[in-house]
Amino acid sequence: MEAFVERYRSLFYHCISQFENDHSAREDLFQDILLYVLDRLDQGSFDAERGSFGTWLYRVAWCRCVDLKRKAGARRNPKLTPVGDSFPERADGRPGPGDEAGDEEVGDLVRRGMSALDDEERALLMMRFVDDKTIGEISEALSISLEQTKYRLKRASTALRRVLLNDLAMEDAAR
Amino acid sequence: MSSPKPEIPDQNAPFQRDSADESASMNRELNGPRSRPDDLRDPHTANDALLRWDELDEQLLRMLSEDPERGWRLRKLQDADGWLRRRATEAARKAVGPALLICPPPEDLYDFGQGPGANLLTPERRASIDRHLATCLECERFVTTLSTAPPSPLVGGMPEEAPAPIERAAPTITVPRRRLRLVPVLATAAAVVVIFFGVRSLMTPAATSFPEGPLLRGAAGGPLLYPRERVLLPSAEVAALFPALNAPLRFEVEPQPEADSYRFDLFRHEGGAFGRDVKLEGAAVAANSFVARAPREAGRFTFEVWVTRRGLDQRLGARDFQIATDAALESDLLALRTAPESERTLQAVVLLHEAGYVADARELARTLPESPDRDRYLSQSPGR
Repeated sequence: MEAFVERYRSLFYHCISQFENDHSAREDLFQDILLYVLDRLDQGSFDAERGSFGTWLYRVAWCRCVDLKRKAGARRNPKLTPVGDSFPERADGRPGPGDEAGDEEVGDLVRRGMSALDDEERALLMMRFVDDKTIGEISEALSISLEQTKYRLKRASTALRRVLLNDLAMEDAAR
Repeated sequence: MSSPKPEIPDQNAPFQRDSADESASMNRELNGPRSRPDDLRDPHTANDALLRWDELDEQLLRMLSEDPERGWRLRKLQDADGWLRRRATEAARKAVGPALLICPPPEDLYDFGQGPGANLLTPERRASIDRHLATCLECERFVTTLSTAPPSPLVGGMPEEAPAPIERAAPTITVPRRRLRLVPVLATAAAVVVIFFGVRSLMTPAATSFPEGPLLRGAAGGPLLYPRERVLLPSAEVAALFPALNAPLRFEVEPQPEADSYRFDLFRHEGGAFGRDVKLEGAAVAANSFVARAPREAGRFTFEVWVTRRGLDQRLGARDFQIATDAALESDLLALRTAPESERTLQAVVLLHEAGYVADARELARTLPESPDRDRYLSQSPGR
């Protein structure tokens, strides 16, 4: 057991470090994942014909991290869903009546911000968030690679935030 | 589980994040937050943190949200992101139906993010997850964690032998005095050998042979091979004598493992520090080389190459080169007109290569009859 822990600790920590920055939380996560992996091993989940043991371990550890993060998120934001609802794991994204006014205000802010972006940045955000386009579809539309599309989307999103921050600072100064 | 309390090895510092963990210890006082609260008082740091709030860890995000000045701005930015994602949600609901709003299981996200050993997803499933990510920040962040895969030895399996202890006393090197006495004698012998071969090579008339590839270091290396640095724009005379020098440019990269295809993009610089690159052409090809369609023209260019592995693009890099005329070289090339046909091309290859026009030299070498020497020359890659 000790040999196993020593041998694969660095692999587990590589995975955990993508999810947790706090050291004590990492330790907890490490213990949890270790027990989970041993349990899966007992169940005979590892199939040597489908890949190396290290790859299997990484996959199991990563998926466990996601599960635990989702559970932690659900605990922080409990949602009540009626029995029989076909989408029990996700809340309705639509704003309630009380949120409508705030939503409109935010919508105006975002629209103003988008109008200050350059054409390509605006087009990217529109395609992604309004026209329901996949990254692949956007990359085809713009004749750029998938990686370029992701990079430019990220850049457009940051540009929008920068514009919004400027607007908010102006708003703050005007108060 | 009687193992000693684990310590985080150095090699597991989080990738592309702050370097706080590079020498991690279990002392929590040393392992405090990556950015101290004081840092947020600096407007630049705080603004930067706000711009990338979705990349901050929970601790820093909490500190930012509790900041009286920046907290409300953070909430506004989060609201704006939420608003955009709600638009995506509405679009998805209309186009694909509400099923898209369910978060995919971690296994599917892992496959979508191409984690090590990922399985192939159907194009429909990929598109469905892709659309879902526009609506769900949390899933998008999970997938982002897979963008830095662990080093392959970690995933492929660890070495059988336990790693040697990290802290070892540095070995002391003791050289017997007897060996030290031999040093001047050996050095003299080495010098004599070098001089002998040097003189012999000078005395021997050299037959024309293929040149050696350049030995390069650092940024000049890498998977993007040719063209590099200079490419000749031949005059009509030179082009008539060596038609290969007027052929469209051939772009070559090192073959990449598991490559499905390569994408070559060619840009021309407008000139000036703030000039924009103009994309001249681009193509996705199965082979690791690509011949441009456009004829040669003078100017400065960059070619950028992407490799597609299992449906994901990875940038291999970009390389600059210049296409220009070279009067001195042209006159040397034209002087070869009188040389016998069999020697002319090889001598031109040598001239071009020595003048730094390696891509042209290779193009010309391709016109020579196949031979072990020619093939060895063409298989040379600039590198270490």
